[in-house]
This record gives sequence, C-alpha cells and structure tokens, in this order.
Amino acid sequence: MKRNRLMYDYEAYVLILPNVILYAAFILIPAIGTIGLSFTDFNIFQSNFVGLRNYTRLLDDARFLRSLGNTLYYTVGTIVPSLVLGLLIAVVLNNPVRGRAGFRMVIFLPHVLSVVAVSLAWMYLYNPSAGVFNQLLRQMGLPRFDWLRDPDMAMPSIIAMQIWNGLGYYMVVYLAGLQTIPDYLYEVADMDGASRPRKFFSITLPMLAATTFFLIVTGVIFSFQVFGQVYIMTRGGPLNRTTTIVHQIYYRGFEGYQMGYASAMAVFLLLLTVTVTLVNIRVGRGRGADDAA
Amino acid sequence: MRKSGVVLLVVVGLILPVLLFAGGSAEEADETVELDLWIPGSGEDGEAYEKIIERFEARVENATVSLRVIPWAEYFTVLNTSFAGRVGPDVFGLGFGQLGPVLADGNLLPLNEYLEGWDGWDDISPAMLEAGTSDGTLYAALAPEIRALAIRRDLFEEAGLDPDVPPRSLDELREYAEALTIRDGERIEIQGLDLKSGFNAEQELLQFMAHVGQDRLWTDELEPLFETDAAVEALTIMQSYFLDNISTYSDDLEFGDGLGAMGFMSSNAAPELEAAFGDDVVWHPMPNGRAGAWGTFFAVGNDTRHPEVAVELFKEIMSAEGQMVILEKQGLLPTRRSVEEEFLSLHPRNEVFFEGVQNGYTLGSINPHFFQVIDAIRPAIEEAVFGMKSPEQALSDAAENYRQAVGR
Amino acid sequence: MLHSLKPRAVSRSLKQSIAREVRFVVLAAVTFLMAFPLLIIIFTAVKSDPEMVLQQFRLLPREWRFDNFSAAFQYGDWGRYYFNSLYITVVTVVGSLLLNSLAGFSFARLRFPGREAIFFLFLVGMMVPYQSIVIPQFVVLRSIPLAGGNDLLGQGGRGWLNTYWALIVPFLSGSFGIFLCRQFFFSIPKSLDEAARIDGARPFYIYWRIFLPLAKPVLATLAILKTAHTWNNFFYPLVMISSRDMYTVQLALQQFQGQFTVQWNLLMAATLVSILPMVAVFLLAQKHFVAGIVTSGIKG
Repeated sequence: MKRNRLMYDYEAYVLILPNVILYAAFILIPAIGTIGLSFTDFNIFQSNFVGLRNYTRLLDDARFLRSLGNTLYYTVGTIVPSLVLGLLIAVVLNNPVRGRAGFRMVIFLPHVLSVVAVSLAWMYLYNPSAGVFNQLLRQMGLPRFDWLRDPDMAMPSIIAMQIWNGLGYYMVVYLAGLQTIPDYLYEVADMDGASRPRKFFSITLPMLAATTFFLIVTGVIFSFQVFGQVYIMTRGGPLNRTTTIVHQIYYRGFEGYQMGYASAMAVFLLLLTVTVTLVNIRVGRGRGADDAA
Repeated sequence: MRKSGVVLLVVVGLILPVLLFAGGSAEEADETVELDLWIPGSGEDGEAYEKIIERFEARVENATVSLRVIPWAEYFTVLNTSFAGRVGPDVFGLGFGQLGPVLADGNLLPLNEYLEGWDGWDDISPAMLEAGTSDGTLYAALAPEIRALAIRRDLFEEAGLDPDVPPRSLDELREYAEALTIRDGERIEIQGLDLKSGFNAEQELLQFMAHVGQDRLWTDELEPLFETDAAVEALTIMQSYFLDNISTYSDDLEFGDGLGAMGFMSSNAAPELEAAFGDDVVWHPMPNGRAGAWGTFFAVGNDTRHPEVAVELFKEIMSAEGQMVILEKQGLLPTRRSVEEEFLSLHPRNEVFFEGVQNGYTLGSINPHFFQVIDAIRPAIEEAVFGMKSPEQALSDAAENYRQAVGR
Repeated sequence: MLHSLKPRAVSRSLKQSIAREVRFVVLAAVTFLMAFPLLIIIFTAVKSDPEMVLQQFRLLPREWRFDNFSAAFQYGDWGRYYFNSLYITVVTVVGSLLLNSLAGFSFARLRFPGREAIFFLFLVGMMVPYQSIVIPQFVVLRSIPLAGGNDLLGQGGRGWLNTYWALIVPFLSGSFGIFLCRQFFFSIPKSLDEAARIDGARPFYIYWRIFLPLAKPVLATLAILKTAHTWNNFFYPLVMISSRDMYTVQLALQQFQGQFTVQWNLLMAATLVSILPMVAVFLLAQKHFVAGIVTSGIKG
C-alpha cells in the first residue's frame, strides 16, 4: 500500500482522545513527577535537588544489583514455562473435549484470585511444618524442604506459585488468538494430508505470532514489576535472595523515607523495561508479529 | 442505532450514581471539629478505638472522630503518602521505624504545653514516657508490648523439666533449649528456643545483648553500638542456636503454631496463645528479669487544625480507661501505675507483663536514622546465623554500613 | 478418491477418538494439579479451629464448619462493601471495554502521523511501577479542580480522594486493554475494512459496525482480566479511600490478616466468597472465547 497523505485518518486523534486525556492525567503526569523526584533527596516531607547523585548511588548499591538479578531470574523463570504450557493447554482446549468448560474454568480460576489471597494460601502450602506439601512428603516418606526459608529454594518456590497463578491468563489469551486463525487454512492442510504436528508448527504457531508477542511483552513488563508476592511471602529474604527491584523501591521509599532514591530506581526500571520492550518489538517485527495493517 | 442507544443508556445509568454519591467529604459545619484517627493494626483492633471515640465524643462537645485501622504491612505506604499529599491524620499511631523520621521533619506536635497538669506525667512509667521524648519534650506516648519468656508446660514435662522453674541465665536457657529440641533426623520438629533469623531479628539480638550488659543499639549521639563486645557476644550466642540446630530459620515466631518449646514472645500474643494452648502456655520473666518493649506510639500531627481537641483525643487514648480498653481489644499493655490492681486481677501472668513495662527498655533514644540501623543490622544477623560471616565481621560491617548511610 | 474413502475413514475416526481420550486424560491430570491448591483453599475454609493446629495432613475436614463463612463476615457492613466493589467493577469494565477497543482499533487499523510513537507512550504506562507513582498520583487526585472543596486551581480541599471517581476514572483508560485490542484487530483480514472504505464509511462507523461485533472473543477476555484486576485491586483503594463506607471487598478482607497468627480457615472462607462474582463473570464470558471471527465474521 502506498503511503499517501490522503490516506491519513485524522479522525483517529478524536477516537483516541479520551484515552489520551485519562492516561496523561493519571499515569503520565505522575510518572513525570517521579522522574523529577529522582533528581532530589525527597524524603516524603521535603526535597532538595541533588543532581545525578541517586543514579550514581545505584551503581554501587549491591542490594539493588542483587534485586536486578533476582528480577531477571523471576522473569525468565515464569515466562518461558507459562508460554509453553499455556499454548499447549489452549490448543488442546480449543478442540472439542469432554468437560471443556470445566477444565477451562479450573485452569483459569487461580488467575482471578488476588495476589494477597494467592500468596497467603501458598504460604500455608509451603509452611515447613504445618504446610500441605511437606506433610504429604512426610506421609510418603520422602525428604521435606524448607521452601520459602531455604535461600536456594525461595525464588523457585515463588516462581512455581506464579506459574500456577498465571497459567490461566496465558491460556485465555492464546484461546482468543486461536479464534483468529481461519478454518480454511487447516482445511487446505488436511487436503494436503499434513500431520498434526506439522499443522501445529506451520499454521498454528506462525498464526499465533501476534498473540505470543503480546504475551511476551506483557509478561516481561509485569514480571519486571513483581512485588506483592515477594512482599507478602518473604519480604525479599532469606539473604536477599528474593528481593526484587520494586520491592527495593518500596523498601527504600516507604520504609526508609528515601523516596528520591527509590524514584531513581523506578526510572532505571522504566528505562530497562522500555529497552527490553523495544528489542521485543524489533524481533517481533522481524517475525511479522507486530505488523500494523 | 437502537443498540448504541441502549449502550448509551446503560453507561449514563452507571455513571449517575457516582454523581450522587461523590463529594460531600469536604463540607464542614462551622462548629463541629472533625478529627482523623489512624491506627496500625488488624480489623478487630479497631473495636478498642471505637469505644474510646464514643467516650471522647460524649466528653468533648461538637467533636467527631473518623477512625481508620490500617494493617501494619501497608501502614508505611498509606501514612507516608498522605503526609506527602499534606492531608495527614490529626492523631495517629506510629511504629518505631516511623517515629524518628516523622519527628525529624517537624511533623509532630510538641505536647508539653498542651499537657499541663496532665495526670499521665506522674502515673505513666517513666521509661515508657522517655521512649517518646526528645530533648525534654514529649512528642508521643508508647502503648507497649513487651517480650517475655513463653514456655510450653506439656513440652517441659515431656523433657523432664519443671515448667515452673524457668531458666535464670543464658547458660541455663541454652541447656533448657538443648533438652527441649525435638528432631527427626536433621530436621527440627520442635524448636528448643524459637528465634527469628531475618525480619525483626534485631529485637531478638537486643534481648541477648541486654543479658550481657548492653540494652541500647545506639548512643544518644546516634553513634552505632553494634560492634561492641556485648553485641558480638550476643550475636555469637544467638548464632549458635541456629548452627546447632535448635532454632529454625524463619521471619515469624512459630511458637504460636506449636513449633517451639520456648520463645521470646510478645505480650500481645498472650490471648491468642492461651486460646490455642490453654494452660500449657506459661509466661516467665526473661532470664535476666528485664524486658524489651516495642509497640505503637500515639502522636498528634503538627499541622492539625485543632491541636487542643486533638490533644484531648490523645489524652482519652492514654487515660486509664483508654489503656484498659486497648489492652482488652488490642493487647497493648497499660503503662499507668494506677491500673496495677485492675490489670493484675485480670490474669496471673499479667504480673510478668506489668513488671516488664515498669522496668522495660527500648532500642535507644528517638533516632531519625532508625531505618539505617535496621537496614544494617538485619542483614548482619542473617549472615551470621546462616554461617556466612563471623559475628565480629558481620557486626563491624553493619556499623560501617550504618555510618556510611547516615554520612558520619 | 471415492473408492478409498471408507477404510481410511474408519481408521481415522478410531485414531481421532483415541486422540480425544488421550487429550482428556492429560487435561484431567493438568487440571487436577491446577485444582489442588484450590481444593486446599476450599476445604481449609470449612475446617474447625482445632483441626488447623493438627500436624497431620487431611484434605477433607474432620468436621465441616460451614459457620466459618458467617464468622468470616461478622465484622463490618459487607453488603455495602460488596455494593462498592460491584459498582466500581461494572462501571470500570464497561467503560474501559469501549474506550480501549476504540483506541486499539485506531492504533491497529487507522493511519495517522505519530501513531507508533503515541502507542509506545501508552505502552510505557504499563512499565511504571505503581509503588513509585502512588505519591504523585495521590497529589493529582487531591488536586482535581472544583472537586471535594477544591478551588479552580485544585487547592483547599481533598479533590477526588475518598470518592468513587478516584476508583473508577483513572482505570477507564488502560494501556493493557489498548494493547490487547490492538493485537487482536491486527489479525482481522484487511479485506473487511477496505471494502467498507471503498463504500465511503468513516472510521468510527467501521469500528462500531464491523470491528466491535467481531471483537467478542477479545472483549470477553479483556472483560475477565479487567474484572479480576478491578475486583482484586487492593493497594490503590487502600491509599485513596479513607472512610469505611467507601471500602471495597478487598479492603475489608485485610481484617483477617492478624498480626501473630493468621486465621487460615476464616481467611480462606472470606477469600472464597470474595471470588464468587469472578466465577460468575467467567461463566458468562467464556462461551465467547470460541465464538471467533471465523464463524461469526467472514462466513456470517
């Protein structure tokens, strides 16, 4: 299609206007405020300009760097299994299966529970003595674990919970994506006698590129901001093995009264997320996943 | 087009109630004084303050109080956000971590000039008044919870110990703990002494420190006191409980889940523990007979529009009746000597608690850098009890980190 | 082709039914794993207090305590909290579905200068951690002009703090919803709107008459996710709402987190009741998941 000035839809500005106004007032302006605070020593009550001091401090804050590593670990640890499992379940559930509605419901249900409820319920499951997991292991005569209290197991335990919690989201979005694949593509493939795996890899997977792209982008964005689970279940411990960037933002800002420094962390996280998302978009474009009409 | 008409109608119908319900919060009649009272705690804790408000509103004409109870986990966020937005409450509770920073920026009303002739001056335990005093001026009053040694009668008897003869020294405490620990192979089933290893572990460390002669974490000049010999000795003792498999790593006290034979438990937990274990919970004084006090401070905001009325509410909370209601509903201890008889008559173990309040100690003078202390010392304790650093090393690193953070 | 049809058809249908059974068994296994923590929540909700202390694991309660549900709801005006939550959720979800799909359509199907840049700016909104903007956001809500006793410059009163406005208006827009709709509209064949454009249709008409009816699967998905998000939002109303008659269900639920011991059974009971509306929304929306564009759009 030729780019032609006549083809511009200037009405689009009107159509996006309500969103733009709301977005500017409640997200953009506060975010700009946060960027401003990151150059100050704002301590909840007052602030002085300190230039880039908060940013230079970030670089030799060992705990912040640790939280960065933990956040990346959490992100990769949750997204990859969730994508694979979510897609498989969605594909299977897109076929006529007995009790399909029930399966969908149960798999999705964890996602509608609040972070607080999920975290509290899993703390109960993970409790080393009273917890269900260890009681089952004991009754089966197997070794028990300290789950959230073991420095090496704490983060994997949180990740396992998050996969359980988020799988329904991946499944539902994939199900919506599957509906956009026209039936005739499969009909043509059937006529060519294509096998089931071949149909999956040459039709389903490529046609779901836009959906997968969406899930990766949103997954990265949300995972980078993980906080509630960590705050409720471990408070970043033991030995800071589960502290995340947003947990550090909360901890420094609200408990430590160092809001200026916490704002610098937030700006750093924002820049990191923007960078990763731009890379995602670039890779996505290359694969036709983010191609505008 | 009919369809869009229906949608429009639905949208208008949904928005309309907002218009009807919204607003109205700012209109204030001239004569009535409205106060905001914010309390950190759980839902049921609010009942105490509802009663106090009832009494207050009956006593002070034209004053109404709007109460908000906010869980500790969210209290920092909610209180700090409203301070930052300049719409903070008039009277509010504060934790130890908040008192210093909030006071340092001049946000608390100096109470002395409003409290002339107040009966609390002579009645309230001096140590508890001291905790909220800075440069001779009272800014906040503490509603304390103290730490005492809670033990399980049944577990003592199983281990062949007499539950009515508590350990009298740290060595005895250790012997008892050793004898009381129940293990399944390497795993601890019942901890001889239940200790925290991370969150709030500075409270445990201070208990041990007080037993070897130091009950402060910083000097009045805010110099750190955590690389002293006493601190190192205390952390060495505390560390041994973890390395010798007597206590489990945990941010919570598990005594309440039935997983500890002894614990430095909060007086606040007494009703719940007694509900769960009945007569099997026995309270003793700490081995050295002195108790660390924590709890909630009550203060008045410096920019309240009605300081006199707000101080009246403060007085109502800190009155003998107020303290007894708070004790009943929230479990925070009374600090007035005049309620001794009534308090002791409620439960035999209250003798331990009353004694604790009168002779208790807190972390040190009000410190605007409280966070920096905690932020330095908690990781140090954790690294020591996980065996990653020696107590000396961990604590000298902590002191160094503290000095660096506060720019000394 | 005709003569070979019969034997192949038989083996194919046999294969298909085996495949169906295998699918069923695998799904049942996965679903059980997923359901297990849910079952724990459900059965914990009806266990008695003494049983909560026992060290032996049993899935089913020894004694079914259905009065846990009434015990969990004894404090406070839960009718009011449910009304607040329901009202806020319904308005937010309906409003945001319309606004988000409109913007998503514009970003996917209309051409205008700055389109990608504006869209990316919206995406950035998802990347800002809430904890870092809560204070500026609080100040914005407090400073809404002429609201809650404020003057024209937004000073003097409390603005939208402690009102329904604060809980609804900021969430009517939403980067996530715009993004989701945009991705969905990308996948719709171009022939649809091109045909309409040749007939001279305006963009809004194309959105309203062609794309919105096709968007059922994505709107159903968004409705569920947005409902969950709004219903479960805890941190935000906690900061913005101060009086008890404005409490939402999630705010009221916080009461079950005691300081020393959590009353697990009561907490789980309250949690269960609090998610019932979500289950209802899911049941309503889920039949649309599979009513895709292929059947309802092109062929219809």
